[in-house]
Amino acid sequence: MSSLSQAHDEADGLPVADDAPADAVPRNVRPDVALLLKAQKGDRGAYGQIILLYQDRLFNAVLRLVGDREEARELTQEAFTRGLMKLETFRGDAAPYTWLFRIAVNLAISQLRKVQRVRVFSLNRAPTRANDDQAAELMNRMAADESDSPPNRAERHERDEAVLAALGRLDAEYRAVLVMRDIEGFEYQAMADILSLPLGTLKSRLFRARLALRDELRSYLSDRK
Amino acid sequence: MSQNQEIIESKLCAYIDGELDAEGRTEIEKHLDANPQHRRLLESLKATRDLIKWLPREPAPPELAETLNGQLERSVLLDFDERSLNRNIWPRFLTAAAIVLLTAGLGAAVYFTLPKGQKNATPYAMRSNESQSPMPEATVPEPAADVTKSDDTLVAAASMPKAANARVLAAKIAADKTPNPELDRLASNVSQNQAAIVAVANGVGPAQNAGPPIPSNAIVMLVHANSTELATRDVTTYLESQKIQWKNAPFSAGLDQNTTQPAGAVADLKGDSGSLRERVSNRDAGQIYSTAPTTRTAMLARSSMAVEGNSSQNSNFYVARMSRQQAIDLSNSVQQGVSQKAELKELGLATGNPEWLNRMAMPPTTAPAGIVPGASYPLLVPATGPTTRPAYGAFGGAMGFGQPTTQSGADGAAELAAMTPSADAPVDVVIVVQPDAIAASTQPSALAQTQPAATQPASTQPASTSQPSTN
Repeated sequence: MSSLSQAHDEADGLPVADDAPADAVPRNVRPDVALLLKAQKGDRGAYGQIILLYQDRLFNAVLRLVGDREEARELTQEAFTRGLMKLETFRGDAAPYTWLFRIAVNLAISQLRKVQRVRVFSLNRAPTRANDDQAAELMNRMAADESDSPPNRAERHERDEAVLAALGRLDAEYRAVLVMRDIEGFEYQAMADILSLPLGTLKSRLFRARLALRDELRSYLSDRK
Repeated sequence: MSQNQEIIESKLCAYIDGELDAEGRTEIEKHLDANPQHRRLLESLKATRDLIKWLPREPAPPELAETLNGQLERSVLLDFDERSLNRNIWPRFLTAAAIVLLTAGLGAAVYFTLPKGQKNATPYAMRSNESQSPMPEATVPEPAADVTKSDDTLVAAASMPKAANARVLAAKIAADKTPNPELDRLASNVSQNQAAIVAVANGVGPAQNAGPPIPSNAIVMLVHANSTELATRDVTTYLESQKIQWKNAPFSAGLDQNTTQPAGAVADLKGDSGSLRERVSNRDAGQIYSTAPTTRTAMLARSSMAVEGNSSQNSNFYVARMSRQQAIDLSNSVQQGVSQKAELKELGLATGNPEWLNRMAMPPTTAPAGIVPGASYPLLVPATGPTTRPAYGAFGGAMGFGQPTTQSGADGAAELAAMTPSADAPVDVVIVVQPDAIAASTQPSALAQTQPAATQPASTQPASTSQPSTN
């Protein structure tokens, strides 16, 4: 497991459910797995907790895939809905998020193939309520460098806009592997499973996707130099 | 993309991510040392990777969670909870099973409780064989138009003109091929002796007959009516309503047809012997000449010959086996019709002729050598009945076989009751439906006035036919 992926799993902050009832879910299972197993047995509240647990992560991944917030929201919602309808397909051989992400990425790729247009990704957020803006701002501040200064923020914003714009000009398949690997931190094998690709083909595609993104960012990178 | 290129790209990708093994990493480092431009490329790719990693993370909009929570709440309220289904399936199953058992029980109770006759009840009273009503109800339908479908014929006939009903029923009877040897034999005998039956039933006998005995205890029901069709309809409707097996006794090609022939025609009476030839000399003369004493010879009065001639065209003959009570009921039912009357007569005794009597009666097959009016003879009915009865007394006498009357109804029923051992005892009934004009023409008074000497041939009779035939 890559460090990023491991960080995601640990960031969930959920203790191992070793105190779960024996008749409900197996002991010593991950808490998200326990929730999904409960949801499989009809516990809608457990699935609600799964939503709360993964909605931000999944929305962000879908947003980086499709580049549009509203579209990302709809696709994320659809992914959770389909997950609820296909609970019985979860067999526990993958992490619940991987299972949900597979649903979401397939929806997103299908959507991107239907709408063959150059997507202009942007960091500009849709207007939200004040509290939501404050929360997002807080999260961004926590993720930012402590030595962040206004000039650095502007530079970083410009960089992110350039990266998102370049990402939006890539093919859907390249975009998917870049998001899965460099944003979501999936391991190669998990990515290969999700995309149903051979491992070598997946790595080759990822290499080519990075080359394509670099080419898209060439002008930005050359200016910085 | 070649396989080799994919492998190289795969290794370079893993090298960028730091997941290449030591051997692969050494190999690539060696190559990068020799090709600095490739090193710059990989460094740029690492930088690109980092640019993506540093992208800010966007939180999900709050409406996403709200929408999903709403969907979950609806699914909780509306969706099918499988565990709940499993928990409730047994009460539902038991309820369904109880309903099925209750329905089956009620059905069985109804089936075994209701009288048998009601199980197969049809909308038509005539199909009810166990009906206790002696008379057909007003709802009894008319005979049917389609004579080939016996069960539906009377249903369809309800819409037919009544005038056609008798013909329809007659056709139905003709189509009835249900085997019944005794009834067939009686019908055959009646067919071949219709003229004699009409004559004796109307009291123009006695006639002399000779021939092999015909086992039967038949009685004659003589029905007079202005309309033979209506009377026939009444009779056949009753028979059908009681599910009495009956047969038409159509005209034989022998006697009756020949009686309408000109004088000198030969009537070939195909009796049981099959060799009887009866010559009818002349209807006006009223004489019948037997061909031989050993063969059956019907000597009928002149008036009876007139009856014969008319009967072949206007009278209907039926034979049926029914109970005594049914015979009485049939007689009474016919009485209900306008301008209709019925008489019950014992055919054998009515003839006053032992041979004739034996032909139509049950054994003993050996009849008395002669018969004397007023004398007693063995009653040729089953052994359970009376043993003797007067030839011209009792049933026959009171009814006037020797002295024809139109007496019927209760008197005839009483006589019939005395004749048969019980109300359920079967009797064969020869039903003769004839126009009232014929009956009127055969009244004794009229006969007495017109009856000449029995042996005197008519002036119009050819000489060759006025003598007994030697055939």
